[in-house]
Amino acid sequence: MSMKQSGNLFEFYLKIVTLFFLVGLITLLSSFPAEAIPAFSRKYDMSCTSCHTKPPRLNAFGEAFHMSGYQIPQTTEGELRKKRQIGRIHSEIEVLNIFALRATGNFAESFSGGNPVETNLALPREIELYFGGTFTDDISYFFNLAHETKVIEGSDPTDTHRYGHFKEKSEFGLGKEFFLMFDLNASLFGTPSGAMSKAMIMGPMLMVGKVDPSTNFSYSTNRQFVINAPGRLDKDTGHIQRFTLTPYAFASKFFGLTKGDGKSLEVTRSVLYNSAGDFGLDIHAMIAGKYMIQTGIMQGIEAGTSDVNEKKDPYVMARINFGGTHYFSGSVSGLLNWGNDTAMLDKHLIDWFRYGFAGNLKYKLLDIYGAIIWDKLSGLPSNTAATFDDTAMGFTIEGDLLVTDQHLLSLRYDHMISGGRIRDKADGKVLTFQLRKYYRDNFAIFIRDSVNVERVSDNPLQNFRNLIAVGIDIDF
Amino acid sequence: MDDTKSLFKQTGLLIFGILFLSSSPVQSQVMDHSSMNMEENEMKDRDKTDRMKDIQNMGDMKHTDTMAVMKGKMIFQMSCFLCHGRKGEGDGPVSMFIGPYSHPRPNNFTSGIFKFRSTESGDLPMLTDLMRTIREGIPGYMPSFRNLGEDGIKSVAMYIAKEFIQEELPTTTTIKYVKHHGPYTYSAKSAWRGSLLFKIMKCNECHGNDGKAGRMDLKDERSLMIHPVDLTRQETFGNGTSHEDIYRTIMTGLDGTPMPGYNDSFAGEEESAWDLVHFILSLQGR
Repeated sequence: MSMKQSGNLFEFYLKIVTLFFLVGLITLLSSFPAEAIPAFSRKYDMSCTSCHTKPPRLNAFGEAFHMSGYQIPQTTEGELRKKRQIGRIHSEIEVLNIFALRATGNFAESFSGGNPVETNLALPREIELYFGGTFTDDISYFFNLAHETKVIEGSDPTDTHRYGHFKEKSEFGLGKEFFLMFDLNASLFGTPSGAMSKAMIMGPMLMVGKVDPSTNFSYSTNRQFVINAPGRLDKDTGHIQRFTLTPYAFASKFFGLTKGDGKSLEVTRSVLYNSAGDFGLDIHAMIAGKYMIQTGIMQGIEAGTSDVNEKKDPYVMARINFGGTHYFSGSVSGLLNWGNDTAMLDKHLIDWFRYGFAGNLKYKLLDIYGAIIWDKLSGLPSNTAATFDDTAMGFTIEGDLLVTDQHLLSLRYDHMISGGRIRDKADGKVLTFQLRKYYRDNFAIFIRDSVNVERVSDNPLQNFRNLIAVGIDIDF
Repeated sequence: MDDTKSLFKQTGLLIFGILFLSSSPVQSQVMDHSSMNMEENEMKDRDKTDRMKDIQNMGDMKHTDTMAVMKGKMIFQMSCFLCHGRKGEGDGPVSMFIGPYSHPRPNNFTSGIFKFRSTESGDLPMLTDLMRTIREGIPGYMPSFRNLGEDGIKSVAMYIAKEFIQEELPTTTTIKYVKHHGPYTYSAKSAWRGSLLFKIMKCNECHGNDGKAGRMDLKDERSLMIHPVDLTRQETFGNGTSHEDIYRTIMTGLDGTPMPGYNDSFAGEEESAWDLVHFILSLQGR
C-alpha cells in the first residue's frame, strides 16, 4: 500500500469517525427541548429569536439592535448589572457575554450531473469565534476569528496577471469583520442615540475597520440560511471546474477579471458593497426608525490593509422601512457603488459601477427577501471591445417560512446574466430548496437540494445538475 | 440575452432614480416627522408661553403628564413597537418570531389582559406594575429597559395606559401583601408547610410533585401552547424571582395563562402564602 493510499484510508476513517461524532451530538441534543442558548443574547437574557427570525438572519429588532451598536434600542448600554465600570469603560464580567461561536458547513454533499461527479464527507468548513459588545455608551466593537477550509481564491500571479488560475486553501485569522463602531449622536446632538435623541435619529454610527456594510441592506450578504456550496479545482492545473455557489446578486459576475493584485477573481465571489466584509469606513443613520442613509468607502476588492491603487470605492445606500402592525414589516433599499480602479483586465486597472435594489417583506412567519444588482465596467482596454462584455446582472430571491417551531423551509432562486470574456462566459440559474430542523434555536441540521436549471456544461458556472447536501449550523 | 440585460439595466436605473428623487432621506424625514415635529413644536411653544403658568400651578400635573406621554410615545414608537406593534396590539413585526407557535407573544395592551400585576386577577395593572415590567424585562423574552431611567420608564408606562389601555389604572390593590419579615421569614418548617399546601392547593397537578412540571401542554388565552413553569429553575420566572415577586405571582396569578390567582384561597390567612413561597425557594436550593 502506497503512502498516498494509506493517507487516503486514514482520511476516510477520520471522516467516518467524525460523522459518527456528529450523529451522536445530534442525537444528544435532540433529547433537549427547543430553546435558546444564544450567543449575544446571554448578556441581555433574551432568546435568539428576539433578534433573529432564526440565526443568522436578523428580524426587525435585531436590525435595530445592530444599528444601535449592539445595544437595545432606546437604551444606553442596556443591562449594566453584569458589567464592571472602569472609568468610562464598561468591562464585561462574564466572558461568555462577549464571546460566541459558530460552526457551519456540509458534512455530506453530492454533486451530480457535471464533470466530475463528486461526493464528499467533510467537517464543517467554517468555524468562527465572535467577540462583540460595547466599551462605552457610544463605542462598540465586533471582531471574529475564523477558520475556513477549501476556500477558492486566485493563485499568486506568478504568470503575470493571467486569469483562470486558482488555488484551494484553508484560512485562519481575523475573519470577515472586525471594527469599532462610534455613535456620533452624542457629538452632534448632545446625547447618545440610546438616550432619547431629540432629533429621533439613531446614529450617525461610524464604523471603522473591516466592515460588512451590506448588513444594513434589505438583503444582507453575510446572513444566509442557504450556505455557500464549495467550488472545485483541478489541483494539478489550477483550473477551476466549478464555482463556489453563492447568491448570484452579490457576485462579481465577470469572467476574466483579476483583482488589483493580479489574482484571479472568482465569478461568484461576493464583492464590493456586497462582500461579506472588507476594509473601509462606513457611516449610517436611521431617522425616525424608518429611513436609513448609509455611505462609506471601501479599500477595494479584497485589497486588505495594503492598498493597491490608493483609490477608494465609495458607496451610498438608502433604505426605507415600513410596516409595524399586523405582524408585517418590510424594507426597500437602493445602492450605488463605485469601484475606483478596483479590478484589472489584462494588466489594466478598470472602474466598476454597481447599482441595485433589495427588498424584504416579513409577514408573520414568512420572510421574503431579494436583490437585483447590475454591474458595469469602464476603462477597459480598447482592444477588448469585441471580446469582452462589460455589463452583468445578478438576481437572488429567497423565501423562508417557519412551518413549525422547529422547521424552517427555504426556497431560493439565483439568476446570473454574466459579463466578461465572451468566449468564456455563461449564464447561471439555480433553484435551491432547503429544510432546516432546529433542535434548539441555535442548533440546526439541514438538508438542501440545489438544482442547476440552466443547461449542464463544462463551464464552471454550469458544471453540475444537482447538489444534495446535509449539514449543520451551530451557534453558541 | 443582451437585449434582456439592457432592459434590466435601464429599468433598474429608472427605478433607482425614482427612489432617490422621491424618497430621499431628508425629504422623508420631513414627511415622517411632520406629526412628531408638530408635537415637538407645540411642546416648545408651550414651554415658552406657559412656563410662568406652570410655575404658578406646580400642583397641576396635567401639563407634566402630557410631556411625559409624548416622551413615552417617542420611546415606544422607536423601540417597543417592534414587538408590541405601533398600536400596542402585540402584533409588531417581531412578535411572532418570539413565540412562533407557542407562548409567549408580546402583550396586546388593548385587550385589557395583563399577566404581571399586583392587582386582583382580571383587574388592570397599576402604573407601577407596568413600570416594573419595563424596568425588569421578562427573562428570555423582553430586555430590561432600566437604563431609560425612572422618568423614561414612567413615560412609556403612561403612554401605554393613555394610548392603548384607555382606562384609568387602579392606584391601589385589594390584595393583602404581608411583609416578609419576623415570623414570615424562611424556615425549614415553613417550607414543609408549603409542601403540604402545594398538594392541597393542587399546584402539583400542573407543576408536578417535584416542581419540574414535565411537558404538560396547556393553552393560553390566544390558544397558544404553554407549558407550566419548572419551579426548580428560577430563570424561567417571568414575573420576577425575588421572594416578593413569587408571593405576588401566587396571589395575583398570571392573567392570560392557565395560572390562576390564589388571593381568595388565602383570604384571611395571607401569611400562609409565604409557606408556599418558601417551598418553591427550597426547590431551587435557595
